[in-house]
Amino acid sequence: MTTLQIVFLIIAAITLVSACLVVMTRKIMHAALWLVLSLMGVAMVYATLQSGFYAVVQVLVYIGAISTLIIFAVMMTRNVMEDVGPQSNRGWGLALVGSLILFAGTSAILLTWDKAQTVLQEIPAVNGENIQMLGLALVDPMGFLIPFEVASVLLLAALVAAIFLTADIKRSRS
Amino acid sequence: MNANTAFTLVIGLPLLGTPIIYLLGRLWARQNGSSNAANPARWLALLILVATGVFTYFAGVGATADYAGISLNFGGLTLTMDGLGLFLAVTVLALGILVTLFSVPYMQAEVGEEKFYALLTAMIGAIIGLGCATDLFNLWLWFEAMAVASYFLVAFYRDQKASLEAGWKYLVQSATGSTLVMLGIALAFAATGSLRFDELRLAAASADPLLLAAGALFIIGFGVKTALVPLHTWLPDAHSQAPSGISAMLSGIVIEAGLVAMLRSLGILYATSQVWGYLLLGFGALNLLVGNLMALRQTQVKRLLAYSSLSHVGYMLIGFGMAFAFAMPNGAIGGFFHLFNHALMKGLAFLAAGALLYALYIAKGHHGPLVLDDLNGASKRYPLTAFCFSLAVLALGGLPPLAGFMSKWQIFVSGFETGSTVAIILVIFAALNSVLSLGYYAPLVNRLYRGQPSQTVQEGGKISPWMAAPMVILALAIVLFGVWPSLLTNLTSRAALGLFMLMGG
Repeated sequence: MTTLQIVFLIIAAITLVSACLVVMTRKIMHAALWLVLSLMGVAMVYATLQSGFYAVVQVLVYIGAISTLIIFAVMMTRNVMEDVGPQSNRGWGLALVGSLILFAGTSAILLTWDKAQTVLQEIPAVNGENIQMLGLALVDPMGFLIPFEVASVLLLAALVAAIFLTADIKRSRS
Repeated sequence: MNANTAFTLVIGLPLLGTPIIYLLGRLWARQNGSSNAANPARWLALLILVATGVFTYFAGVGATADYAGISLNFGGLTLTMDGLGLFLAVTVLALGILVTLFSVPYMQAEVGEEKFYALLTAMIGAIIGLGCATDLFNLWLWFEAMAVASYFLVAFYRDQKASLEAGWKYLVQSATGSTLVMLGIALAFAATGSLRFDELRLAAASADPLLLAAGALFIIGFGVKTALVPLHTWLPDAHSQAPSGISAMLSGIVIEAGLVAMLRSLGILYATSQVWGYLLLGFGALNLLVGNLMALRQTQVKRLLAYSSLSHVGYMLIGFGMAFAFAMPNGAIGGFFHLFNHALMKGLAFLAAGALLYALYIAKGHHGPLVLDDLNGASKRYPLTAFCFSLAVLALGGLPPLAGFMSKWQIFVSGFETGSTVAIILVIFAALNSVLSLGYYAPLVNRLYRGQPSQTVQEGGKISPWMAAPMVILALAIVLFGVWPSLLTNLTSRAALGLFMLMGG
């Protein structure tokens, strides 16, 4: 077993365990924090696959933006740290059996696929040429500048509208 | 009008309209507080849907001029309105406009009325898009957009415990199904390296185990939404707890949109295996039997209608199964014909049940279920609603000369045309189930006309003309398509052609 495989196994274990804890923990705030760890694990998987760019984007977008958004949304709800009782019901054993069957079936089929037997090979580094091109395309008027800016304006409008619409509820309650 | 412009508007109008409907309605509600006056969100929603309907006509004229339909390109993304896409758009808009009309008094002064209309418009827009997708990923995306809009509509009465439970159950089951579809798409992409329908179809000719697994995942995943029998447990709760207009939409078109998505994805894997057709036939028989047996035991009207949806999906599956297993054009045409008729019949049944539910319970401020005993003698107080309801259930039961008979007949004919013993036995089984279904439809009519009105019925409120108008239109349509079924042949045979072109035949 190579070092890379050992590292992968550790990362996979962290990702899976924290993903399970997201749905099993009783406090919703803790669930949000476990989700951050799980997403971090996915970013590390990208890094071990030599997709440095995806790893960075995963950290920036999922951990930097989406997780923050989720944590903010959680903080806006009531009973953030309340213990709301068990997170599973009587049927969890059946669900586990079902998921395991699905996992075993999918793995068995993927093992018959010839491309799944390929040994991972190191990709020669390309000095980040593609990423530079992507960065330039995002700010190039002939590239994706206009869609990029339109998306920013749309998000800003959504943000302002969200605040405007929720502010009304607060006022009527008080 | 240029067909391509019209097609762009058909796709764009409901999606762009959704936030505008919500904002307008929300701002209006803020200004006027909880007054009972009409929220303009409903009129805007109605206007947008009618306009989309008009543009669908112009786009349809262009799309039917040529067998390939019309296409739109947005960068790398292509949307094509072929016969199947046009058929789905026409069905969803016809039912959607009538449901919006019906909901005007039904949702009046409910908290969050503007959200209802915005989500309904978004759901209709997503279903139109689903019919026009040309690659698996976009098909899934439209499917999810439809599902997300429908979760909130099912759980619309957010302070009712039963409604939240139904919404939650629906969300968990449907999301699990969507994940399985996603896995299937990943396997199909791994095996062929493409997601476009046309490229996938060419690459899918060999019996690759990955593609077989992908097809199985498509059946299970889309099957949750289509309510194939072991996966149907969300359906009776969701259909009975949603606002009645939404029950009509869910039963009439949302589960069928899942079926269309399943047919599209299995159609491109047609060359991979013979087994898909037999699986559809098997699930069809199971749905027929379980749906009918469960419906016989129900005491709540909307739950009964929900279980009868299971059996009607069974008829459609048998029709499409004949198309897949024996390459019978009549099976697919009959299947689409039944899909359209079912939207009309079940739409009418849910709207009529909803009108009674509204008059007897909701208008008085409590959300009790409408039980069978409430129907006793209802024709004396509500003659029009009772007549429409009876017409709808008799059409669902398949009595000639109503629409339900014609489409079931076409499906049965396709079964006999195959000449195969299995298919003929299956058709006889389906016909016997049709008789069995009268075992719960006929007592409904009996109760409406022969029982003595209960206390609840005698004290019931009035039914607004806004509710009566869509019911009358649907009732007329059911009779019209029953006596003159060939009116729809152009639409349904083009939809079947769209499916066969996908299958490569």
